[in-house]
Amino acid sequence: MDENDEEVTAPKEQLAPKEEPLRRSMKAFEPISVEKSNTLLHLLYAQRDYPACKALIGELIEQYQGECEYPIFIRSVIAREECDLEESMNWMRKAQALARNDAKYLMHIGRLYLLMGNHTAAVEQLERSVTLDKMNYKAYFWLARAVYHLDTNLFDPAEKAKDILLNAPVLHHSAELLIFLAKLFTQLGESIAAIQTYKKALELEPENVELMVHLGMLYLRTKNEDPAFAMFGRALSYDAAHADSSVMQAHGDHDVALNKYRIAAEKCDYNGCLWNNIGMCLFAKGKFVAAISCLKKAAFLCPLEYRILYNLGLVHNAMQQYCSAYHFLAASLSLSPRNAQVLGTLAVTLSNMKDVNNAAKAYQRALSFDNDPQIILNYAIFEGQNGNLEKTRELFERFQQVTQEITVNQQLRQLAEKVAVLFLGSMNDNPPNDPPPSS
Amino acid sequence: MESSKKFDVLFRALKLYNQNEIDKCEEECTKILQKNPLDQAAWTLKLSCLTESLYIDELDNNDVGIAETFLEQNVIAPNARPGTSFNRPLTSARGANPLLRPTTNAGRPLSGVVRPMTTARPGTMDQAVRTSRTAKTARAVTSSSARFVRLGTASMASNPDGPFVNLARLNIEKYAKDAQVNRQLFEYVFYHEGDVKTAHQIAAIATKEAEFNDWYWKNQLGKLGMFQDAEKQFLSSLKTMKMVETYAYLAKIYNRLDQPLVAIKYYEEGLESFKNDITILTGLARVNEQLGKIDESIELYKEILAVQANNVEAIACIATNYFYSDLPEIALRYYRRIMQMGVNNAELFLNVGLCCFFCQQFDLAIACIERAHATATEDIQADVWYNTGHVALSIGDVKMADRCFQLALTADQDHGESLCNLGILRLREGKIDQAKSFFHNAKGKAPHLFEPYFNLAILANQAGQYSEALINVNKSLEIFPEHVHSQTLKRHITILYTML
Repeated sequence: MDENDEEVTAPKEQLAPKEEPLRRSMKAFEPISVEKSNTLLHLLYAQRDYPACKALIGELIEQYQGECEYPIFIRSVIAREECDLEESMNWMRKAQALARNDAKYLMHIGRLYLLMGNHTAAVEQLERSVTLDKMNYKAYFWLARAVYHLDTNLFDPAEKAKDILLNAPVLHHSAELLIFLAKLFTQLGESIAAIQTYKKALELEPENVELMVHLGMLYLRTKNEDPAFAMFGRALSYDAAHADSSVMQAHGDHDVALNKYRIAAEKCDYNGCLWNNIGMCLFAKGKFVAAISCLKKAAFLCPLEYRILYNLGLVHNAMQQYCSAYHFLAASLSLSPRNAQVLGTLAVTLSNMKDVNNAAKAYQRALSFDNDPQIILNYAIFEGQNGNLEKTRELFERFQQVTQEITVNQQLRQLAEKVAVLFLGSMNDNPPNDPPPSS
Repeated sequence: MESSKKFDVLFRALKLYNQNEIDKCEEECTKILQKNPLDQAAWTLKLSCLTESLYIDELDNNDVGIAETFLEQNVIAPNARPGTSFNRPLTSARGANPLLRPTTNAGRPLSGVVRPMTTARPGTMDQAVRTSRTAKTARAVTSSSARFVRLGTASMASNPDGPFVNLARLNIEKYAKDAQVNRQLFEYVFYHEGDVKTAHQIAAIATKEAEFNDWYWKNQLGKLGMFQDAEKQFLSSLKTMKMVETYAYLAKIYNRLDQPLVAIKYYEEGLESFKNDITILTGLARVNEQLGKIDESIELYKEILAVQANNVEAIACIATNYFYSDLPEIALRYYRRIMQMGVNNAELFLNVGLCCFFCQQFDLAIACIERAHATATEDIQADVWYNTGHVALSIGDVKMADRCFQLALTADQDHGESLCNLGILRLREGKIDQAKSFFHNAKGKAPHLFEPYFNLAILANQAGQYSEALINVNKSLEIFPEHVHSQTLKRHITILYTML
């Protein structure tokens, strides 16, 4: 619990209960100190001594015949933390009635509605709260959340939630708001904005491991491997078992990556993605049998994940077990039927199995989905091996055309040049092996 | 038979009894008794014959009825720590969690054999009535060798002219004191008549007559089901004479009292006196397995195989363990061994088929699975279809998998695993409401699965139904406390509750 909130709430309730003693002071002229018990209650709550809190609240409510705002409010908060939403709502309504529609209580009631899953009511309450108190940034957070979960076709809930958050005051001082905003940005596909937001949030909470992982993943998704690597490294230094270390793998540092995976697997040995990564790490190190074993475990855990089956196909292809490779690739393809990459690899496997007709069909189908330069190059090599030099030339031209539009791996470009020389330049009768596309 | 005619009739009867020709022996005895109704030797022999046909191994007879499960007064610690009670097996042990190794509907890791349950997971009465107590599991089991069933009931075997011995008119005092007759009489009364009260009377008199020096009577008194008293009898029996059986019974009592650690202690004591005894080793292996200590259990099963190479239970358990530790090739060898020993049922074929499939011997796998379908009895049909569905999933044929799971449900409408998988397939098609209803159905039908709860929690969390998500994720964690993904989800939801 952070203490900020205590400071916000404490002064308010000092004002409210003062009205009560005034009324009753007609009978008893001794002034009653109300703040004292409130402070005690406050301390008990901060220490999370809920039973003592409840006992004290009971006494206070009896003493003031239910006309004490702060104890009732704390009672509601305790009920919420104990996950008893109905009761929390009852107490919060009492507090609200005493405080004559204070915006703070409206916000809490809205939040309770949200937790209960009644998003329409939540939005209604929170909007009232926001209009009453424009400076309460928390109300904006809850409002955005409630709007985000609205089930409506009239507008895009994520977009609307984003707008609300962007209008919130002191947005840059609250990590919660920033994290939720970044999540919305990510969902809306605005990666750059999301990264900026996460960065700001990280400035506020420099030790939040989850944040670092999210940020790292975003970097990775936007193909910024270096900052992603730095971010994951930072996350790992806080929590050794937490983050994925796939970036290490991309860096070619497989031993380090394997070490990290070992720690992660110790904690949770039923994570299919983890086993998939371990498998591919071992594959990159050339340990094919171990890789297959890991990938199979991954496939056992996530039978509906086409990537794992695809990787299995790759490893079997590398081991020259083309039938098994075909089997896995076919399975992968039936789970993800319009995937050009899978089809391209399937074509390579088919050509390895000397099934020329089907391989050509697979290449054509793959290229009808996606103009992947890798597939074009493989197809060119395939046609070259089969002596269709016309077709090869045509494909090379297509390759050149495609690579001008998008940036490709330097390695691939060099390979293409070599292959072009082989087939079209010197017509050498020593064809190179098909390069297995890397995952 | 020519020469045997010259024998004395009683001798012939005894010979027949030795040769396990129980029916013929009984006829001979009846003839003798017709001639001389007071022939004690023939009378006792006939008692033995009658008992023999109904004899069961009391050690393995520990099925617990619903009433006993829920009105259990013998359990000592209701909230035991993990690993000290059958109700709270270790789920954190490597490879023993419900994700890598499916559980039985009592919530324990799957074993290689079906065996009588000792205690069921405590739940509501309603739940116990709804879930069948057969050890139906996610994956078909190999053999039911460990399960002994009463071959007939007393009423079936009874004589048309009334019972052989009229217990009400028998002078129990007199016969119980007679050391020549009392054992046979006791066993007849206990196994054949099922009259525990009279049996107890006989045993009490007999043990007094033997001046409390006969281990046999102490063991019989212990068998009669009163746990506290039984323990004293068995301990005293051990003082008189150390017997394998006594150690096993002592451990059985503690298993019933849900004190597995004490049971293990007695098994180990037994092993000190009787090294490499199969009964004790099997008992120890079972207790370890039920506690989720899979590795220890497998070590013990390996010891058993070193002593008795054709122990089906041990082979099946080791095979299952190899299968779930990603070594289907080795599991296949063990299953083949069982097959060579002459067992050929649908469960075994299915297991062999699955092993073949995961070894990528697809041609054999399909043949074996087809064979399993052809021979499957009604009670395992659902499991066979469920596994076929998984095979279909592995070759990417989602439609066929869908149909297989539906067929599994046709065979057994309570097959929670199939319901859960159907839900996931619906989810994949984007039909969230249908998926939800499958998960709700699954959690009602199979309360031992954490998956439906977890899936429902994820769906609720996505839809912003946080309180519903929290309830479900808590249920999921109750069943599988170490599930990292549930823990993460719960953390995310509780932040919303406790945030200031």
